[in-house]
Amino acid sequence: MKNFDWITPATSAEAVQSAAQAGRAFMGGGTDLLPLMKSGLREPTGVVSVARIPGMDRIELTVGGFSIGAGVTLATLCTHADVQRSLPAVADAARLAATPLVRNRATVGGNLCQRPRCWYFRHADYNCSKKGGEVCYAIEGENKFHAIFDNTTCNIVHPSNLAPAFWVHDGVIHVLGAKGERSIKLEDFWVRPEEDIRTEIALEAGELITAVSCRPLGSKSGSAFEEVNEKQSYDWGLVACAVRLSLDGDKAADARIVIGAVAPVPLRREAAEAVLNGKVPNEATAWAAADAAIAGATPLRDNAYKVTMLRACVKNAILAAAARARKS
Amino acid sequence: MSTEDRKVKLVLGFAGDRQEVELTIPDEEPTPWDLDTKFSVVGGKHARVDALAKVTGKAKYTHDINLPGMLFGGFARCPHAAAEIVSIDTADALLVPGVKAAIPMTQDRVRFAGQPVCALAATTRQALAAGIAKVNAKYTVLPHAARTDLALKDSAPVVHRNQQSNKSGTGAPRNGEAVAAALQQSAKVVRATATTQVQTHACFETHSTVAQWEGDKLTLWTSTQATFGVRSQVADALRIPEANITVISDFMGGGFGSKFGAGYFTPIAARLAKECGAPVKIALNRREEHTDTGNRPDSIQEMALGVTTDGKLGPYSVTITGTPGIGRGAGARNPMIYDFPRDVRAVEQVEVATNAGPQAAMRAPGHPQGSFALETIMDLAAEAIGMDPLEFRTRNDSNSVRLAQYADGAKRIGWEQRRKNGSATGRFRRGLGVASATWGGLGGPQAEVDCKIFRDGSVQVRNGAQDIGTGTKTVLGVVVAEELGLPLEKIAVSMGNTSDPTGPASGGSTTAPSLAPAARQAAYLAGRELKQLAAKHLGVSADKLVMKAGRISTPGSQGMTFEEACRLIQSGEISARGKRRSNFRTFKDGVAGVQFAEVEVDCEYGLVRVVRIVALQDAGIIINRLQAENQVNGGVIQGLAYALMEERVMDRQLGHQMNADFEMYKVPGTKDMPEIECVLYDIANGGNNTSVCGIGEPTCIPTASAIAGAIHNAIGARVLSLPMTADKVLAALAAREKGR
Repeated sequence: MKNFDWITPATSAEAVQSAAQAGRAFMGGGTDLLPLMKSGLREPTGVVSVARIPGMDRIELTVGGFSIGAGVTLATLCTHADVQRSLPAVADAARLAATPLVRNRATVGGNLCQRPRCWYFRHADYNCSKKGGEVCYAIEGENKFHAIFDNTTCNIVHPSNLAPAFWVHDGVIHVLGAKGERSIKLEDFWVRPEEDIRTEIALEAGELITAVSCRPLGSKSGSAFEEVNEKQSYDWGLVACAVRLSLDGDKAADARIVIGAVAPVPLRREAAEAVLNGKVPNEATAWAAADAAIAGATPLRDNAYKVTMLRACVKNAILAAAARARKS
Repeated sequence: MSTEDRKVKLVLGFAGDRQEVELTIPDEEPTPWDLDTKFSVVGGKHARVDALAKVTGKAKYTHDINLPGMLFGGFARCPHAAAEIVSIDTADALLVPGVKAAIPMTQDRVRFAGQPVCALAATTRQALAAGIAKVNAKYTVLPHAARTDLALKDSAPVVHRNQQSNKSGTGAPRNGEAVAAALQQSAKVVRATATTQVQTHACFETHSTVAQWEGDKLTLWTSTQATFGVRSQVADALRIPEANITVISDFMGGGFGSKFGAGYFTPIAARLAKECGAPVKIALNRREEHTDTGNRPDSIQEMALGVTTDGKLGPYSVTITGTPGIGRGAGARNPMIYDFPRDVRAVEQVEVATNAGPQAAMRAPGHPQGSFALETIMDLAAEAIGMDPLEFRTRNDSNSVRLAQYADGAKRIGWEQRRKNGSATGRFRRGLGVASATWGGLGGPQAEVDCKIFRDGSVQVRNGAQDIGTGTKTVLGVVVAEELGLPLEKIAVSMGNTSDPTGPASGGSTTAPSLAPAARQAAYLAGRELKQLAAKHLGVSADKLVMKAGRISTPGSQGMTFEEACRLIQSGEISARGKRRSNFRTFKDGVAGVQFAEVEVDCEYGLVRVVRIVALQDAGIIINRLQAENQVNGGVIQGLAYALMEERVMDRQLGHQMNADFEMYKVPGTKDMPEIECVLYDIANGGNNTSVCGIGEPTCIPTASAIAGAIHNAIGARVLSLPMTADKVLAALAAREKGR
């Protein structure tokens, strides 16, 4: 790791100002930035610490919905009573991430901005296409953990497990930059490799996430997040799925299904939502929706199992969300 | 028999199998403990003597050693899996501020990605990293084969020069045809190919050395399993007298077989320190630890087994293929257990060179991989003849300890409730499995221990070998406390400095059984001198005195306290040296273990949760029950990791290890832990005066095999490849569905 300046601004405006200088990076909990710096993938000359900025760790109900400060830690998120009640998928996702130690440090903003875990991307001796090289090594290489959708150009999977959960709750990302504030809907936050292979998200240089706002559950509604890991302590998801739905009588309505860890960016599965809407959510309909969710998968040599796993994961997330909706 | 020798009668074995033996032992040797010995300290549950130092951070590991003016050493490493070195230019590196030395390694060819090509020392870690980046190495890149599957191809590049092929080995066994013929005659023949992965040692404390010169005297703090081995290897490498070298390993953070030698990094740390005139610390990083400090070889084991309809083992043939990387020695032990008829057993070992880091001995070398295959064919054979797999094992195992363990463990795991393979239904399916282990771990010479008794009543025990974290210091303390009739906290134990008496390398589970008898003899001899003084003072015969509960007395009398006796020491101290004798007759050649596993398989995700392990293990007479349980727990956890998670992944394209970290090289965490029931068998094994056997290795052998059997029982399909990750379990389930 190279030496760097340590900058601790008092406000987000100050933070954005100091990050305007070239070579600087924002840091929330540092759980991703520091490993990137250690492996030489990022070499900022200055690190702008934003997690301690007053107000950045606030969770509040506003007119626009539920506002979660970008500096809120995953530990706070998963234990916060209002989040558990109104955004259960988000609480699930935060709880299932990493370890208690990491959750105590890792922040909402950092979780959305973290770089992929692809072991070719992370390895200094592989100049893969994401790093400006010619090749996606995962196509022919060791691809057990790689993408099964939208994976012709780059085979990373997006590592954020909060993202699908925020998305099913109509998340909006609030950003502050040199040009002022702007808001980005979750669905517009992602950059596909075909658009720009060097990044995964639509932040411009020097822009800082200040908060994420979400729509809390209404009546007769439930949400859930399900993730499958090889290890139960500290592992990256093999597949993940967030579901929110409401019940109209005993039938599903307004379902939202977003899958994670299976493509370069999180994917909303509208076809699966259509299968579920208007039907009583049960094993049979959940499996049918799951079938729609996995349609079009293009697995690689070593990751076809992820398709099987994702199908069950979607089914289980639907059933969990429906169970919560019935209880609400 | 010299006049000083005496005859003693001992009872060896255990309650289920008592054996009386008569021995002649020399004067300096205490009467060996046996099955009927009543202990005060031995066999209790004692916290380690260094527990507080470890949990408070006071214990200083090699990584914690920081000397004034110390430099940081490290390596520039080759990014190619195979290459000729054209040139190594260190000029730019030496211009980096803070870089003090750069020594190219003397070689002309690099054979795995990450092989070191140049060693550097610098004032800070940053300067070191900057210097490493500036080493200008030019290579001619060569074709490589970094994986066993690729190295076995006819078109594969040959890893070693002067060789025609990557394959070498024992060649076809002489009795191969006879065994093949016998197989044809068998009532039932079962065939299977089982594969196991490369596992890295993944020590928490990476390999590390701090080297300091004072004139021509060299002190090395090093994380090692063999302080004395390091001393002689460094003396050889640097051509300096062993007498000038002191090796210190006060505390050690895991070795598992990867830290036997001085490695390349210890002599080079000394050379850098010499060249710079300052102490140098080399502490490998996590990537280096995974790629360049050893590993357990993988294996492909093709087996054919004949069995009789009444469940007796018949002819057996197995071909074992594995890679030692660029090193040597990849064999697996298969079979190493069960009563296979010797005349119809054919084993062929094939070694495959690959462009990967060299293998190193790893916890029970050859056994876990052999066990996985062997227990697989055992389970498949039992299934083929419709016999319960436990019944099948008991019919083919004549070891009396294991037979007791099978019966005991079956009750504890609830074996009678075990259902037929694959009869469970639903998403979550439970199953039970069983597997066995054998190990030597008897120890022997050379091992010497000093015991000193001081006038103030304090007692010191000293040996120069290392406590690798298994708790050897505590073992020696308990043995001496027992012999002198004192509580453990009265004994100060010092280990890990080659200025003290010699001891073994910690391998083969031999440290405790080598050192404990020497420690006991030292305490016996020192105690005998103290008894002489007490006898004179009390006016009784010394051979009537016993040392117990802090007193020295004849039975029924008050005598005197240990401290009072110590004040009779005229000058200095009583000092005695105990020497490890050769083993006398043992009850069994080694230790026996059986493990039972209960798993729950999530058939939607293919995930295996290990619910419970019952581990039954003997380790001779148990010295410290708490520590022995720790050892069993540790072995089971490492076995579980081998079963379900750990796997070195080598890229088929550029030949790097893709998961040389702790994120994608997966080791289990707290939530992955099963309930572990540890059942220790106190066996008076004899062999030495304490009856101690090693327990470090055997407990990691059968865990993965028992888990595999339990998965088989749960889902009705065999996963033939380690680690048994979700993708493989889902594939096995799918294949079973298809076959219906």
